[in-house]
Amino acid sequence: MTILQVKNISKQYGAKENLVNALHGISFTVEQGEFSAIVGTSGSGKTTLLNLIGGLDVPTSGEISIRNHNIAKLNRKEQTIFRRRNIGFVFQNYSLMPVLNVYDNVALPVTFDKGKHIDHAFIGELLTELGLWDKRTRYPSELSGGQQQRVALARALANKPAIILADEPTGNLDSRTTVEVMGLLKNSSKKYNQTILMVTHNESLAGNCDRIFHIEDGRLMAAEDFSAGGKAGGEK
Amino acid sequence: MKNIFHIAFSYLKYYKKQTAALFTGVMLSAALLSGMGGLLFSGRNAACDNARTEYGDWHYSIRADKGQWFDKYRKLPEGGGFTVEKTGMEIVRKAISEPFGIQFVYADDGYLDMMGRTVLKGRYPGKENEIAMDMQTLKNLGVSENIGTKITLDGQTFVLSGIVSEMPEKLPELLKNADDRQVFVNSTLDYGTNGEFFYLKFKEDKMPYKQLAAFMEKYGITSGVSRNNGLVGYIGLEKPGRAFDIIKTGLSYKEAGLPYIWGQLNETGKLTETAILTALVFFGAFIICSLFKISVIRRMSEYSIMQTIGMTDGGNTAILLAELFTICLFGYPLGCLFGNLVSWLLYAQWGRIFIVQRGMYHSGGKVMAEEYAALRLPDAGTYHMNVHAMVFGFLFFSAFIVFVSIHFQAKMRRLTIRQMLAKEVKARPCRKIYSRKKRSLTGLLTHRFMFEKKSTFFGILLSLSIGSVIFLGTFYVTENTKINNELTFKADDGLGSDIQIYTQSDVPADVIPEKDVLKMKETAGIRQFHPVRYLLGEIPLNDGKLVWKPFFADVADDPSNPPDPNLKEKYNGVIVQTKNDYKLKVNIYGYDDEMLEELNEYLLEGEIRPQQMRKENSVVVKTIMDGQGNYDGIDIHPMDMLELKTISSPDMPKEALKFQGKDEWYQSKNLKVAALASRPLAKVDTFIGDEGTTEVDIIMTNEQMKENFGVEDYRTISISLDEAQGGEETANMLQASASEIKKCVMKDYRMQIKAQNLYLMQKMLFYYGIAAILLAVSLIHIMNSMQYLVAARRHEFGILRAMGVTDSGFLKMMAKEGLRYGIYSGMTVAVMYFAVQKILYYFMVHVYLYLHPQGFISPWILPVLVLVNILLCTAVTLFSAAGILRRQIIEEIRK
Repeated sequence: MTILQVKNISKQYGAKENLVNALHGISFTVEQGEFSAIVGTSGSGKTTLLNLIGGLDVPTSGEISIRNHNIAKLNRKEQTIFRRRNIGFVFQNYSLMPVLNVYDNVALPVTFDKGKHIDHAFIGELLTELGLWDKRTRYPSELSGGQQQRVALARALANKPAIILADEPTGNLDSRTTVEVMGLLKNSSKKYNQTILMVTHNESLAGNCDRIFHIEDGRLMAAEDFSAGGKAGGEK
Repeated sequence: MKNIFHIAFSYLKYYKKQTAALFTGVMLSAALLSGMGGLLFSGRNAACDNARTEYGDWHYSIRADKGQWFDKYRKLPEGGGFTVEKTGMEIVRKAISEPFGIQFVYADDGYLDMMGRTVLKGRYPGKENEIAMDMQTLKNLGVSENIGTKITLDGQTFVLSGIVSEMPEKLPELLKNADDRQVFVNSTLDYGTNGEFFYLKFKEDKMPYKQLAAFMEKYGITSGVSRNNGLVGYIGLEKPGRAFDIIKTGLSYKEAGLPYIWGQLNETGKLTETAILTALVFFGAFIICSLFKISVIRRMSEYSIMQTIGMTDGGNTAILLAELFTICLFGYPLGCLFGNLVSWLLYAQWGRIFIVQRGMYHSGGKVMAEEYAALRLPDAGTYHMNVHAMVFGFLFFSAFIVFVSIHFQAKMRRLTIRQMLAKEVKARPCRKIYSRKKRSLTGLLTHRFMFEKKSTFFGILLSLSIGSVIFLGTFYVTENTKINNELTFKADDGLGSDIQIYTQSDVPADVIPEKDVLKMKETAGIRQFHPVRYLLGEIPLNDGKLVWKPFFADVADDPSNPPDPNLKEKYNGVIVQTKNDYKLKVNIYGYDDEMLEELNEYLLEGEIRPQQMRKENSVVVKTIMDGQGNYDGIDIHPMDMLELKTISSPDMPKEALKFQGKDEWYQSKNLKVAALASRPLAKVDTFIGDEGTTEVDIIMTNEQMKENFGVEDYRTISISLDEAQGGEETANMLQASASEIKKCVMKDYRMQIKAQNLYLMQKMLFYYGIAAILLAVSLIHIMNSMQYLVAARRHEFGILRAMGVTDSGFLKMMAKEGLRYGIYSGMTVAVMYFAVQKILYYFMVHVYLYLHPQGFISPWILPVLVLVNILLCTAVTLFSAAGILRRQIIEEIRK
């Protein structure tokens, strides 16, 4: 089942002599349960693409559909609610609420949906799975970087979103913790059949993913499929 | 250093809003300080110039005929340590006591100039048989004012050679024989009994008391020096050490205390001026500090980057210092210019309201009526910039800037660079999981954001509240000043009424007959008509009822406070001691119902209900007040019984007023006390006097006066005119009616009332204006603080938005936060104001002797201000939050 469909996306910044073409005609799809990576050098446009998919930015042209909803056609409020229910974010700088403890940070996006029952059993399971149960009453400042990123992952998973968008999730971590977090992402993807789209500049990290989209100068250069049913090489 | 200024300037340019806020803060603080300083300084200058006119423009007078010093001075009039600006010589040739006290004086040009005595007509006596004097003395002598008129004094005939202007109005206060008039004679006239007085005025660029010390040392003067007390306080005529003595005395005597210290030190209003300017300097410093703190915290991560790349702590401090100093360097002079310009315009229009009214307040229990002051105030003169206040303010702000820069740097030093970069918060001790019990965490987030750091939270509350508290304090004092002015106005000499008709006599039989009163009442154009009956009486104060024995000079046994010989002779004194008890003379008044109802405004204890008073034959006792505004000098309270004794008929001999005559001369009544009051409304001061605070009055209804003592006629009438019906004509008719009654006079106060009302209105408007400016400054500060509070958490808000909080949900959350800040700051305002008001109340009651100040500010103003705080906090928070919503989420997250 196709979760994400990106059709001919372009993004321009500025005007006239300051015009920057950040993305040109990018198209691809991501299936349910896939753990994909967008790989590219710094400034290639990968984070811009991720922000467009997450509805944090608006494309100049093209169409992005998540679970068959064209997010560009949603108004501001609908888009926010859609994002809350269908997209989970993991940022490089963790972006946790410093004033909330681990448990409340994880539960936070669920509480935005009034009337929605907070699945405490699921949050407990997530925290146990990610090795955070003992640290559920700690505050972000009391945790290591790896632990903070695990909290961010738990938070992203808490709402059972259609897709998790992870922007350089290991960018601030040492190599040992990087391996650990990547393992957790992969496991989560498998265990919860969770679609994850990760942005990284690290080719070797991307090697853990089911698919890799290479992006250079705002253009999608190649897509490699490493999933069980796919083959390396793929679409262009 | 160049680099430091370059970086500082770049910050100022980049953070335009913060720079503008700081610049406005500095400018307004400087404007307030310099403007207010200029107004007060100009007022004091005008008061000082007025004192020079009233007391003469001299500093010291020295007996020149004692010792040899004057010869030495004449030979060598200059010396180190002093510079003489003016001198004058007064030689008293002779003093006579008939027909009244007159001093024959030879005065040189210097003396005449110092005393402002110009020759208005004719010339100064050039021959031995010539004499010159002022118009008042001529009138008193009953002599024509024509030059050449012959005048015989002490058996010697003189020819009037000139008429001089009056002697300085208050100079007699400084003279031994205060009632003596001066007449001027030629230098050659000598009776061999001279008193030579040398008058000195030093240059005022140095303290005159220091110059006097040098002068006395040089010429070997050890005694015979008198000081111009009228100028003390305006210029340094005495050693400041006196302040220490005053404080010592104030602290040593229970009955003196702070009111005494303040009253003495603030005789010319300098202490009030200093207190106001100090408060403004601190207010300005607080605003600057608060604004700068916000600016620094916002940029903390940037300072840390500078440190990361090698900037030293000293360099960081220098940047902070350079930033603030640059702003001050431009903002302060501009603020001073603006403040002085506004004050100059204000002073040109309303200058008189800033003139210090010397001795208006605390002066040994006597409160001089302000209503006289409005008409008696001198011209405001020209506006003077208060350079001293401006320089002091600049130095204070400069020192403060250094302190603030070092303080902020020290605060930053306590954080590691990484903490600064991350703006990390300390670990929270609360381990509770809220999402298990709460369905929404936005309320918790608001709470946590607010209480993230308690000291910061309370700091914010304090900064949000302080301006409002100052505003409320100013408003409270202004309101009570207005009430006090109105009450004093009404209570003093009937100035609450346009016209007063009374008998100017100390004979009880000189009254305004009832039939004439009824006739006058029928005069067209009268709005209010209050006739008052009067008698002199006596009450016993037995069994320790007189608490303040030293209050009455007759029984105080204090050589420095001798009894009034006039009162002693006519009435056997105001109070007499009988073994351990006392008998006190009192004024007995009969008021009409309307006046009694008005007396409720001066109520201390009990109830004033005319109907009840008639029924119970009860009275109101107007008691005495001390120099600290206390009224417990006589132990009489409502429900007590009084034995009131008075003459049995107005036709009794004058001797009867001593209350020592035959029994049949007197009648007595036992009366119940219904209430205690602080002031009377209409006064008769031709017997034992009625200053309003120093005598006891027994007040009843006019009907009771008739029933108890058979008094039918009246002593005084207070009348208000209906100006719409042509006040002038009514006044003329009343004047005609009054002139038909023996010893009856009419005083028309309409001009005074008009001048006074204008004066008070200007004064109130000014103080309300100042309160409004303070409120405006504090509101700007509140807006800036709230904007900062929102802006400081842009990153967190970005995360919340990314997590899916809707715009309306976010605004709702922020509105709640603004509302809570508003409520908390409102509560802080109320609590802080409660304490401030207690202090202000103490000062108003015990130092400034305000009449019945309200214990609390008008009921509407505090809730309104709290509401304004709440609305403002909410509105600014929402405004800032809306600004955040306009930004891209991703930009905010990256912050």
